[in-house]
Amino acid sequence: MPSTVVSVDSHQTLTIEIDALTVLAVGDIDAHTAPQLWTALDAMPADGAVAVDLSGVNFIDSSGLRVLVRAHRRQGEGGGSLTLLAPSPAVARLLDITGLAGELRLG
Amino acid sequence: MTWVLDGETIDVVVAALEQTRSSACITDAELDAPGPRILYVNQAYCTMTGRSRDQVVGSTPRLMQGPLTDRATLDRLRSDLTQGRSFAGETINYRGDGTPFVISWSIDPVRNERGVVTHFVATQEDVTQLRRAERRLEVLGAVDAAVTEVLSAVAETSDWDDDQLLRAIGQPIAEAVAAFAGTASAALRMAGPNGAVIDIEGGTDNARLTLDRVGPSPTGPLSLDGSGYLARPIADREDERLGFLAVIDPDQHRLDFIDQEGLDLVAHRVGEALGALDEYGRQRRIALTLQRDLLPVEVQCPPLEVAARYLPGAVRTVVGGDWFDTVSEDGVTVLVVGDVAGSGIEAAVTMGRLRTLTRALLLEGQPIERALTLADRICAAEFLFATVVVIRIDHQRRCGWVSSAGHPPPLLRRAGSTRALAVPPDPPLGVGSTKDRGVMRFELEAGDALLLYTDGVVERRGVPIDAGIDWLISEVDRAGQHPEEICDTVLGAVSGAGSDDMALLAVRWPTDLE
Repeated sequence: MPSTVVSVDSHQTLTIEIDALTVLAVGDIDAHTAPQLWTALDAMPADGAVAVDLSGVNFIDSSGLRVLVRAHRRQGEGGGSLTLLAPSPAVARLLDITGLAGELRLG
Repeated sequence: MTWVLDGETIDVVVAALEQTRSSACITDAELDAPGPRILYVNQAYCTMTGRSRDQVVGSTPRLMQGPLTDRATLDRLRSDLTQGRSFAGETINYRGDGTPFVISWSIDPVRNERGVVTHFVATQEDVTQLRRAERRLEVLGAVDAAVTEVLSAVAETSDWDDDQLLRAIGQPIAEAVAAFAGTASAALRMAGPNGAVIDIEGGTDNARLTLDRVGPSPTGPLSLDGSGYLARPIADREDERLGFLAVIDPDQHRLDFIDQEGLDLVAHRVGEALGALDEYGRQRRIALTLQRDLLPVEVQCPPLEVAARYLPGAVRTVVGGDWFDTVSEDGVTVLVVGDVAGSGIEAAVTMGRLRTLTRALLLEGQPIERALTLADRICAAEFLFATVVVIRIDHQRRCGWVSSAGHPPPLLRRAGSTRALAVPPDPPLGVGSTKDRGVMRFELEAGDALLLYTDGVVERRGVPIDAGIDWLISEVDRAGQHPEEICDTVLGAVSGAGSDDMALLAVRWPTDLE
């Protein structure tokens, strides 16, 4: 099934593609681009097993982490789940340092 | 091959020529002045040029020409026709009432049975509207590009002031407006910060004199039409005047041909763009003021030496929600550094609430990890999100406790060697974590220094966070003894590099303290 590019921000620092229940983010997730990711995740069914493929993300700041936490809560409250797939070593390390590795679901 | 038309067909051909919407003109083949002489024009030609057949027939097509008619195009026309070739071109012609218009036309030689050119047949089209539409698109695109490019450049640094920003954006806009108007130059006179007048010239002329004639003040009364220029006010969406623009042509001819409606559009778009910029600056200033108002006026926690800094991020990120705080009483000092996700006024306000909240919890004497658990619950309920690190120092027992909510670890410098405290990693505030939060105890010695900081100091695109922390460690290693020196060294090293905002809080246990 072909995936759809849903948004590319004007500085082209984050591209988001959606394929069924998987959101593929490629680029940087910062204060500027985090709202794009939230828009994509907020459009997912809250009772679905949603996944975010982070293999193409090298940078996440606190705004990006907030979106992941918010989406995790949204899925939890809706009876679904949010799984983070294939974080790069840099992102995985950030999730460790911020104590989110134990809170979010890594797949 | 010769094909002879019968009389009936000729009648139809003439009727068709008379009634088609395409303009046509037939002249003799005499190219030297006063020729060529017009033998025939159709009805469409008369409509397009605003001239009657009586005025035209027997005269020369030269009567359509004027000051804006391009000489080079006419020279090419002559050369093509002299050599028996067809011609096609575009230039400005003038109607009967003197109004210029853009004509796109082609001329073909008409030969007799011996192959001699006896006449020319020309068809013309008025492409004024088409060219105007193209130019409008071009200039509006240039205005948007100027704003986008400058704002992107500005996003990389926080050093730009409003005056520089206005000039950097105004310059390409003035040049685009001059190109749009086809005039030698265009200029903007804008109201700068603190009542300054900012003149921006695009093109070749010295525009200052013209600007003075339009209006000495960017926001005062204007003379919009004068000889040699045409001006338009520039106002933001709320109709507040920001300045004006003028297109300048000492010969006046270009001004007669200016797309006035298009110029209105340009002035309007420039107003929107610069107004947005103004609003951008205003928001940034409000957020910055708010941020500063919400941060402690001074940090003091005797007997410890202390220093703190806040540095706003780049323009695009505006002001973030970084904060620092100290609570000091009864032989206990609590140090707090936090970071509210997001930017702008909203983040600054949230930061103010969180600073008050954590301060209140800590003043109640809650153990720091317990204070963070409570703050986490409150944040989760209110959809706030922040990272924060707290250190509690017991002066008597010469030890500290540190607990972190998703925040990078504070640094400890002892005897010239710096390391990151091994803080248990617990999740940020706003996660609503049900797990117990950790706390780590550490000893303090005379001369020890602690540095708390926000992620803007150590997080760089393409650089793993551990490498950022290692970099910070090396900066603290080489910094002077006093907390002020530590802050200055670190800020000096990161200066200009960061797009995020940054907060630093450094304390030192004095060596002479018993």
